[in-house]
Amino acid sequence: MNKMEIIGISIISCIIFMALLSFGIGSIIDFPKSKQYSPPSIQNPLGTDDLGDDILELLIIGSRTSLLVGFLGALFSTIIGTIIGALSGFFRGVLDDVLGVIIDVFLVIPALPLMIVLAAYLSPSFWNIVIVIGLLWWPTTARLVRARAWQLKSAPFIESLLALGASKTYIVFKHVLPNVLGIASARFILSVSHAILIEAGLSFIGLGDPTNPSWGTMLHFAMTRGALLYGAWWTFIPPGLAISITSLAFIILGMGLEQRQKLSTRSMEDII
Amino acid sequence: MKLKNEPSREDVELTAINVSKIYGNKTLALDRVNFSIKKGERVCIVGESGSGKTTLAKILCGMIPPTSGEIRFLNKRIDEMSEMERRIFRIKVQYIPQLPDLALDPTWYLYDSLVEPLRIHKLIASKQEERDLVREICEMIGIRMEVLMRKPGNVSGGELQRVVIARAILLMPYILIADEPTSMLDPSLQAKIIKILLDIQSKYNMGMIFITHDLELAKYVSNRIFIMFKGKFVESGLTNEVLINPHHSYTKSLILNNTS
Repeated sequence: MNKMEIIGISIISCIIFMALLSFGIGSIIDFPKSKQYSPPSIQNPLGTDDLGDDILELLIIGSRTSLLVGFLGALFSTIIGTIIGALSGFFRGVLDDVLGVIIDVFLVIPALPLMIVLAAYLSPSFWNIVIVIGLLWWPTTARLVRARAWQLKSAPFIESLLALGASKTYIVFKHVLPNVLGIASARFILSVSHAILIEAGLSFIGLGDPTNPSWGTMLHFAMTRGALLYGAWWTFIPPGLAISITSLAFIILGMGLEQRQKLSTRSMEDII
Repeated sequence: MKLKNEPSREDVELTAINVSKIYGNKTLALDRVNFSIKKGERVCIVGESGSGKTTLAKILCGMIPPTSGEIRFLNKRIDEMSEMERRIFRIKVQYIPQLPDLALDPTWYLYDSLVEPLRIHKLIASKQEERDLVREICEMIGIRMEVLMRKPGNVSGGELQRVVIARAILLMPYILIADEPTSMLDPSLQAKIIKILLDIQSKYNMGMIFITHDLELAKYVSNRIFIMFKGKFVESGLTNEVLINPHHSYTKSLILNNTS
């Protein structure tokens, strides 16, 4: 394990621990209320918001949604990207031409505006956000996996299997997928960070799931309910920091994993 | 290990008739090549890099199709074979690739890679039989069994090359094509691997094609030699005769370069 992986994993485990804590806190509705916009104190370590809810408790509850949406969105997009990339890279021919065009089209679509439109159109809910992220965040993964699968196709062991008469489905599932798993998992970790940011962005502009508040939702309420005017910095700095630190942790871990990939497979230069 | 409808070993012959290969639109890799090998023969194909040696080897074992010309195995064109005949061809003509490092799946344990061809063709009835066969072959080739419990990244080039050879030998091929089997190894290992290949060849009376750019090696291993230059055989015949009395200027320059 290299230094980046260790740093990334330790921050991420703290946040996961925080998300697990949230199950002990219970629902946001039956929170004991305190005074509105009270600054940080012993009773409310991070102060309270406009409804008198404790910011620290909101932060802990929000971590659950942010992480879950991040993980599921990234998982969804990585699976789509890996399958499309592996098929396209391995079979080449017409299938690759078609999938290649689809990948390119999705790559040039400005993702964030389209996500906003989709999220608004689909009505805000937890799963809709996951699906929107999954559907729009796979092309880069597909590109990377495709390049690797392409490389593998001319590897001697694949050639010899083809000469031996092994079926293409067998080769894709037994040899190509295991070999792109390293790249896919590094991409997955990076995607989690993106997905967390996207979720925060969508929630911030009010397209998040109101029943599952996330860090983005906290920022949204701080903005729309006048915390800025009131000067209540404790309502928006903690969730903002939480979002930055979490996505940074995943980026660091992802970079660490990618480095390991570069060490174990020598020809990664031609991939991007 | 016997296949159903397995042909008797006596009439085994692999032939290339007028084979040409064009890559893309214009790169002529092979130009009307004729070649044949019978069981028990040791044949060398010698030529510089890019002369078309590997292309010919891959066409001979059915990895890539020729642009024109035909490959015949057991007197049957390989592109006109029935499923059954094609299966026998795939099992009985084996190719040992040039680069040992991606010759086996880097994510698989060597044992699984080794027995994979047997499993694909369902040639083995039980795990026990499989293990016995692997043990026997490994002893012959000099692979320690614990090596097989590792992945390709954790073994040396020599061990990997042995596993690649064992993988081809497990199928008991009639014709074995070794494409520069030692080019990535250091000299002392080269000699060992060549000796193993020659032992196997004479033990099972296989037809063996060595592909190399090393004339010394060719002299040592082969009875017949083909000299390849720019996709054509410029000279062929018994190894001793060709090397002692070369006719083509390219062969002469090869011999000159080799001795100097």
